[in-house]
Amino acid sequence: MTRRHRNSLPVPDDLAMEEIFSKLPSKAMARCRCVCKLWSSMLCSQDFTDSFLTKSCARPQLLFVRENHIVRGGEFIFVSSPQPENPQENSYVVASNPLACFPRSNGFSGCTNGFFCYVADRTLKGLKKPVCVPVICNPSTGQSLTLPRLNSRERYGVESYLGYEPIAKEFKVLSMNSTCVNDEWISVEHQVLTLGTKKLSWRLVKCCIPHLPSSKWICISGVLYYAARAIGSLVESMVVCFDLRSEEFSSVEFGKAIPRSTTLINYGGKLGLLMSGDSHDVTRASTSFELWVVRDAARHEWSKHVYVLPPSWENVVAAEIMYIAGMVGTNEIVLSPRYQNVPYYVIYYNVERKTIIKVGIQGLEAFQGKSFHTYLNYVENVKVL
Amino acid sequence: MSKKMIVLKSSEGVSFVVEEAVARQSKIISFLVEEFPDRELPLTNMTSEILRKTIEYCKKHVVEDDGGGDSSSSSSGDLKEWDVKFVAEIDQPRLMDLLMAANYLDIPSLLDVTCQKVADTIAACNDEKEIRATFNIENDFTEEEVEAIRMENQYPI
Repeated sequence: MTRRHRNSLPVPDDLAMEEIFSKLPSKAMARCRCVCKLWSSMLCSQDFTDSFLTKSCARPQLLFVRENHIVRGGEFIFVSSPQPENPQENSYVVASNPLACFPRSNGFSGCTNGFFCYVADRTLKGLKKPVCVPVICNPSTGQSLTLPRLNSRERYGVESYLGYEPIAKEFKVLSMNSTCVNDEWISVEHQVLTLGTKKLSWRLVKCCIPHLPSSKWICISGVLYYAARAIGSLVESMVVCFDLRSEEFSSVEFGKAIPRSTTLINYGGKLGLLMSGDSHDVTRASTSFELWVVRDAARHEWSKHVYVLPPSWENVVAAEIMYIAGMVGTNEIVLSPRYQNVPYYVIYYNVERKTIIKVGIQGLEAFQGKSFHTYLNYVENVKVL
Repeated sequence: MSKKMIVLKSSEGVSFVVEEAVARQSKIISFLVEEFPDRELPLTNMTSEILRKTIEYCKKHVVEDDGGGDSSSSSSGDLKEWDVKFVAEIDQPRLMDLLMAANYLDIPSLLDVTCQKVADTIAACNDEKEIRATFNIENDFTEEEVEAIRMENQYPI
């Protein structure tokens, strides 16, 4: 349309084209990039992708990930739905937006600015055995980027986290391997890769905190946080922090075991550990939640909030294990059944109003499967990596 | 009280007499009316057909504030439905002309509905070839370049 000379009106200027592109579904982006060089350069420009992200941030979504065993080798299916605002009794949302599918891997553990990072087995050129390589994928645009092989001899125990550094506007991946040193499992060969650079490469970074990482992590304001075991400990009892700008490690001691039910959340820009207040998983028998928010990381100080569940909890939750999907704002705890039920639902617990509301999710009937994961506050990002 | 009328002239020289309130939805016309009151406004880059369509849209969307209260001529739900029908009835080349007219005259709501319609049309295309054919765009990529973009993505494109 930019090359038409049929009549005398001016061709759409960049702003009008941007307006059109901003209304495209994100899954059409890649197709449009193939149309012509002008479209491609506009769709890849930082201005366009930034403004798309800003709009997307204003309407965060729920994202459901499930494993599909029907396809050979298995795959992960992503489906999104609008995030309900002020959910009411008996409400439901329709998850009608199936996004991309990605090959089966060791699982998805976290999402940063619309991108997921997972570790997959890939057979690389010149190698007989497959190796573990981190892959970055974007469920909205369908883009996936296989990262170079890690600077490592190890094949197993690769843990990768994806962070976003807002000052330099850079995505960085932190990866490490685990190995057994003097009968202790610890992480070694910590390395960082900056996305968006011409030649992607890993560089080793120094870590003076002996620890074993976990798959519980989150990125908040340019810092990656992950729960970890200290050396000599059998339980996760600290959070390791990796500053994406300075590329330095630090840690915050929790002082006791971080329970299995814990989810790392962004509580108004601070790290929060949200967990069952009881000593077990979140079930019908649960009575409360605990939220520990970092008050002073250097001094290992946390502030504790306890949210006692109202009696209606028991009526709403069936006999199943729930997991904490996270928190929307600072008022709403969202829970999701660990295994998929049909019809699927999520539970909103408003800690201020003390209300428990079940929100049905329609449109997932065709995706029956065992493991299911719900992500909150998902934003569509059309940035091209 | 009689409504103030202004005259818009298309590229073919056809004059359209329009209520000022209707025409003022265009920020450009609004500006011109203030700068050059009581003058015919020539829109040399707009055909009569497109100008007629633009005026039809503006008439529907004008907010009548002289009849007391802030009632618009239609409820917002009706208006949305009308917009959908309005753009659905226009063929592809004319839709582009209307979009460009909305852009040129600076009528944000008309730009919004026309851009949405174009975006929907693009999204409905099965591949990049269909998009090029629909919008008459020349392919300046080599097959290898297209393949490279395709390889990065999981979606069939």
